[in-house]
Amino acid sequence: MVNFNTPTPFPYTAFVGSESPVIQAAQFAGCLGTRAPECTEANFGPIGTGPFVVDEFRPNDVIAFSANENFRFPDRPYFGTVTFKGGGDAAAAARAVLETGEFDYAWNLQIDPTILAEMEAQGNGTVVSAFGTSVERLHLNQTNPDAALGDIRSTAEAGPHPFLTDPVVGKAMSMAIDRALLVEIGYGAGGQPTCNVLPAPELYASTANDACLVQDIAGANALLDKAGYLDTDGDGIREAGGVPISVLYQTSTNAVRQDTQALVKQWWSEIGIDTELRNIDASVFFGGDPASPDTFQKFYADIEMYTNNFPGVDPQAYMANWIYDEWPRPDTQWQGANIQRFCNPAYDALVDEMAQTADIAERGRLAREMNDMLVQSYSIIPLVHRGNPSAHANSLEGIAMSDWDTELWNIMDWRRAE
Amino acid sequence: MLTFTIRRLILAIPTLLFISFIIFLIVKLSPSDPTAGLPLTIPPEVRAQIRESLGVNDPLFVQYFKWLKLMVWDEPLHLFEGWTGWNAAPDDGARIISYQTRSPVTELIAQRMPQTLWVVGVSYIVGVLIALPIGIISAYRQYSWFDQIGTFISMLGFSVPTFFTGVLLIVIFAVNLGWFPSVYDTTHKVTDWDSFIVQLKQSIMPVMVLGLFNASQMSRFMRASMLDNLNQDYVRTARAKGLGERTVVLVHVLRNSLIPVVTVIALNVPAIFGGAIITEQVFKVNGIGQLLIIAIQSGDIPTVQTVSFIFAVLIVLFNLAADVLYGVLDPRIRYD
Repeated sequence: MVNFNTPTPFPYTAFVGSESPVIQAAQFAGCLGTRAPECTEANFGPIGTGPFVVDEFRPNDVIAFSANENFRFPDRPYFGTVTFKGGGDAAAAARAVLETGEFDYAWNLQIDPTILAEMEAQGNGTVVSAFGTSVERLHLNQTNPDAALGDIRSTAEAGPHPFLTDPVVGKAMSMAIDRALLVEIGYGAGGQPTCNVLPAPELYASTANDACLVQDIAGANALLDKAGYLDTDGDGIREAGGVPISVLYQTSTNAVRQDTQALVKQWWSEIGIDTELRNIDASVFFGGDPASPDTFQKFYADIEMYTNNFPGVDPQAYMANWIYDEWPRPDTQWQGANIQRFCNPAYDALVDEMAQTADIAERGRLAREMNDMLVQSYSIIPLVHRGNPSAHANSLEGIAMSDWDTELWNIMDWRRAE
Repeated sequence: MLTFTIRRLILAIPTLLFISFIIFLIVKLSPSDPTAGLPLTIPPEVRAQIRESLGVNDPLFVQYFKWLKLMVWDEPLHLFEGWTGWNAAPDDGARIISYQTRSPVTELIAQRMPQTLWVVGVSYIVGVLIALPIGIISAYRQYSWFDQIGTFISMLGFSVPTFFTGVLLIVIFAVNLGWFPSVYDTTHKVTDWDSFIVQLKQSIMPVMVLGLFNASQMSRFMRASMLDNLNQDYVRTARAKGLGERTVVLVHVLRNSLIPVVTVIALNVPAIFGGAIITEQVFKVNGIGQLLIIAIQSGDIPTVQTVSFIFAVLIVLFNLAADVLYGVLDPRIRYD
């Protein structure tokens, strides 16, 4: 039985995907609260309702499964055993499926798209991808991150950012980016250019911002000229109120992200914006340690880039990330999801409205409106709608890739081709 | 000799305590967070609870002494219990728990020890078996074609990194020829001749890659040490009194030449247990080296501490073993 604490307009989340698995109460009875870390056996061999049961679990190495004899369909799954092998890297995993044929399936193949295409061309397997809601995006700090401000930088007390709060600057930066090239170089089958922070499901995807798909450096330059951001001292960099438009652009350390950074820096230099690049180890950047100056929540930079998404199919909680209360700040230990410090009372009102709206079409309209409000504020610049490339051997049938659930959701239907 | 060994063992205790504290501090003060690898969709209050349950918020010294007690007392008892079946370990459930997997670190290490010992250990033995004869012959026939080829191969083996030779071998023998698998199966059990052949096939590439690397270093040491000794007066004396070349080289010169080589061999043994991080990654052997690297990447402090502390113990022990072996090789070296 599931009880909701408050009226919930979209209750269709329990028992419909990997986000809310069914596990056995008796097995986990002694594992609640503080005893949770002691239940290694239960955690490594949970009793559930799926088509396979765990035989052996070796963390970060191997998980061996065999068919569940008590599965609800007596004639399935078609396979007797399944083995997961971890370790190595994405390229090696792709090679084991596409080149040597040692394995039948590999997921999360975030490798150079040309290498993946070459491997696929050998004819042993097929690359498939599915798109959920992951979007690689730039966040433009709306507060002042100037190091001279000390502890109050990137907070409300620091005041607004000297130039990034002006949507014209953000719009020009967005126009200067060739998203299709970013996809071609870094993502291949695992990405599509996007102009929305909420790219899917279809009901919620706006079409109002699609102009960003075409790079327009001349247009961006004209826009900045018209708004009065001119290069008055002839050094190739525009000034805003006498201060050169120079941004610190940070992200986590990762080959694709550094390629993207280099390209974006080049394009921004063509519109007279100077860029300093920085990359931070992912365990620090995403670590959320309030004592570290380098976390993405503290945002001691002008611009930062990463990917976020939301689980399930309903964007209500996700869109509520950008309300004023979600600003990361010292008194919340820098926790909060409104990373770019976006603030618009009209947006907060839409979030409240969505929490009380049950009609699905109306929810779609609200979500699209919020997406447009965010994107057109140019406090966030969506770049790439990221998919999740996987590869399977050609002899494996029945795969129906989905990013809305685990991609193994229908593994009971997988079978060997005749 | 016994007194010397005992004295050295007692002296090792403060050394190890000091090492353990340094390891603890370095790992602890590094700016990584155990929840960094979790999806961004997990809310901050849940993250705070996860950190709290991992004991990250205790004072530093409390964390250190808790860890030290578990490391030197509880975990050995659990290991002992596992081997003998005696109920020796305390039943309060206190173990060194990996942040990442929520399972006891010693169990993770035990799972990974077999493949690391098999692949890295065999490659070490292969390396020694190749290196010693090559070193001896190269020195005895200095500047011969054998010496030139040996020098060339050892330079190659030493200077080309294993992540290159490993991938090269995979491309040739796994992708193009299809002789050997590119992925090491850690669950494979050797029960009969056929399964032994399978084991041999899957380990031959990592063993040869590491073996070549080890052999090239050791053969150079062996050659240099032999050359030093071949020109000594006692060699001329041995020949003058009519001993055969075989006896001169293999008994008189070899034994004296082995002293520096033994140091190199013994001090590299802990590296076997440490695994060969890169080679293990390339061939998906998933041994101790890979455990350590993943633990470092995900801020899994207990695992990093435990594995590095075990390395420290092994290095201290094999240092001692090397010192004792000197005495065996050269009776003039005595410590009492």
